[in-house]
Amino acid sequence: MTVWGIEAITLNGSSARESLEHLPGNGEIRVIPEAGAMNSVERYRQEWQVLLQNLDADPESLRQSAIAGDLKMSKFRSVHWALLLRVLTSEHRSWASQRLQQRVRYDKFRADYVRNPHQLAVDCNDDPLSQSTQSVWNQYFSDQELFAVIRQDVVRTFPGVDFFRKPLVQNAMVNILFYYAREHPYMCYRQGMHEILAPIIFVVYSDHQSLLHFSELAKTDINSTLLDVLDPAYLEADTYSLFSRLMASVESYYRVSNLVSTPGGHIEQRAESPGDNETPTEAEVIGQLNFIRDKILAKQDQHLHHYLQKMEIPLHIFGIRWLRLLFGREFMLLDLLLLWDAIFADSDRFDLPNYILVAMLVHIRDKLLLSDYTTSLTYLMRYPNNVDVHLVLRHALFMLNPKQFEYPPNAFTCVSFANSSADKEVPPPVGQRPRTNSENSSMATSGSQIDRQITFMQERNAADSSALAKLQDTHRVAMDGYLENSPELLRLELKNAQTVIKIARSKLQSYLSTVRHHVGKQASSSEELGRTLDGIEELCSFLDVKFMFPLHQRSAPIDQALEANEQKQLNTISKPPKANGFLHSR
Amino acid sequence: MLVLVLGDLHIPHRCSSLPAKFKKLLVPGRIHHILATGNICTKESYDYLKSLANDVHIVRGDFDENLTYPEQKVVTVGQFRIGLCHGHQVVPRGDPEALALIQRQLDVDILITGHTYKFEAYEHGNKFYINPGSATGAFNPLDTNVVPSFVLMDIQSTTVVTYVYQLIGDEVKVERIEYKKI
Repeated sequence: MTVWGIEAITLNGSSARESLEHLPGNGEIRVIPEAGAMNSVERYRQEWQVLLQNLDADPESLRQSAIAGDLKMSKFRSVHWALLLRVLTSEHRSWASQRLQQRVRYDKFRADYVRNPHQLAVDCNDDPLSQSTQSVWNQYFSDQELFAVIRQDVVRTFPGVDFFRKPLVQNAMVNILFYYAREHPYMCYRQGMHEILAPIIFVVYSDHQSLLHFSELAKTDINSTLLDVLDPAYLEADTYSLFSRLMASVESYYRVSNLVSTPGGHIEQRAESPGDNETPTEAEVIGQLNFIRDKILAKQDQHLHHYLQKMEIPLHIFGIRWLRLLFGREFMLLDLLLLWDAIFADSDRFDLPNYILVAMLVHIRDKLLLSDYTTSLTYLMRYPNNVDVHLVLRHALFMLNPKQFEYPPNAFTCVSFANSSADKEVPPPVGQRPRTNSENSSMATSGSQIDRQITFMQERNAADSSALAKLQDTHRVAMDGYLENSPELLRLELKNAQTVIKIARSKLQSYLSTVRHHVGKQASSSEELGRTLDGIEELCSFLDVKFMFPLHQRSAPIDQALEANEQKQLNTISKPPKANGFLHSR
Repeated sequence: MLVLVLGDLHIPHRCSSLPAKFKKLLVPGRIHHILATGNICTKESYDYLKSLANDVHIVRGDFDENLTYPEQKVVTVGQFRIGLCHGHQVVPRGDPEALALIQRQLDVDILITGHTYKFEAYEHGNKFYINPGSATGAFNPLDTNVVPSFVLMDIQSTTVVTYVYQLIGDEVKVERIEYKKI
């Protein structure tokens, strides 16, 4: 699912890129006919001016806008990120020199770290088989190993996404990761870093491409600072500075406490060693996850906390991956970027990911609480893809800082979600709403809403119970392997499907009612409308999943194998009589 | 491109194994090709060489169990044609002129031979001759004090840098000799 999202974006990206070479005009411009081309350039220029003005006026406003999700359409997301991560200072007049410094530093890596002893006139003490740590040859060979390890991961980044198949991008990624590993020998390269790097290089590259595009449209008339800050020639260097700064913040996720780092050389051994002594090593990230569980989750959702403990599902089974990749596998790329905007904007201490993790858990609490151990794990290992990222983000922000992020009631979905934990008066139409505080809050809601609430809950409970029954049934099926077509099961499935449809309809109705309500009140609120549409879209995907249901059921591999066996047996049994008949005839 | 050249191991007849110090140096992953001058003797030794590099070329020495190895072999590495021959066919053994004859027959830039149990590397008539000596320091009828040695060639386009590893006393000594193709 993640991949779909990225594919969609890369499609846009690639079309923009192609249009660079062939016909001028990306998606935006194609809508507006040729006369509007200048318009888009002006808009581009204006966005840059606004960015600079905001910087002059109030650097903090950047953080606000990033948290609010305003970077969604920004052509300067990489610049925003650089500012948020403090790769560039808010003093934009010195950006050129700052960039220059970083780029010179990066160029130095190449001279420092890539030394080829074949061409180098090495001193007499060095030889290709040397095991000494000072040996250029030895370094060269361990570098080769490191390169191989990194490349192995990089070529598999986001499989199916064309952007990451390009040799240019792959080589840049390998180089960046390699220089990072050599520059930070105590961190070296660990799996997962490439997935942190991937979105960054994607964002930087897209910004470069849009600059190229607009500068072509506008001919020479583009701000020189802008040309310099987003110079496509320095894709690697600029991405590296972003990446290394981000890694500095998340390196605790990767660090393993009692691992001894070897200077220079044998990186491969180091990378393997955490696997060898898994039990004694306490990765720092586990400590952090325990903190999240005990301090945040227990406070926010006791029920869920208790459930996870009862089920003996420790957070680190899935949490390590969530944190290490900064949720890269759990959301579609566009959503992920939005999430990262907020994470970078929040603070240097990176508290927000902790809360996002809890928000994500709370978001699927219904599914978790209703399922058994294996199903829960499946939900956690393959996080459902129809989750609204805004909702998760708002909830996380609210948990992080309830004072700052108490949103006005006219804000839509996300806010009602956040507010519900504060037991404020809430517009009820949102389905997700009761999930945080379940029964208590539903009691607290005002009279007119209670009816709808209760019917909704009842319907949901019906669905839940039938789902539960179905689950148990599937277990039975798996056990004896012959019941797969039993009418009982089919009836249950049908029932379940009906309930789901019922719920979907009621939800849809409630959405529609709010849409009408809001449109009637204020016609200008286009953003809210957009979110409502998002909700409806979500519903559509929900319905899609439902239709997949029977398919899942049918593809139980065990049953087929058994049948095949049976048939084989039948075949073997059916043969001997023939032979007998043959004998008889003789 | 790193090419390991060694031969005259005589394991297990005259020596039990390679010197430990050599074994420590020879790690998999660094060497691309192995050229063995023969007298590897057993399959076990061959398997060991196979574990160091995938591409192993062997010619037959006078004590090899495997009789299917060829008498002579020509291998091309980079721009170099490299001839390989054990050398027991050459009379008198290790004689430069006799070796030059083989070099002309095979039309090679570098000729590698063994059989003398003594390391040698020299240019003769613009061609390069290498004798890696015995990697185990196996004795021979004429000399019982053989210095264990092998050769590593680093081949880069038209240049060969030859590293000679000799176990003198308990120390591995490395020498470096350069040869340029004209």
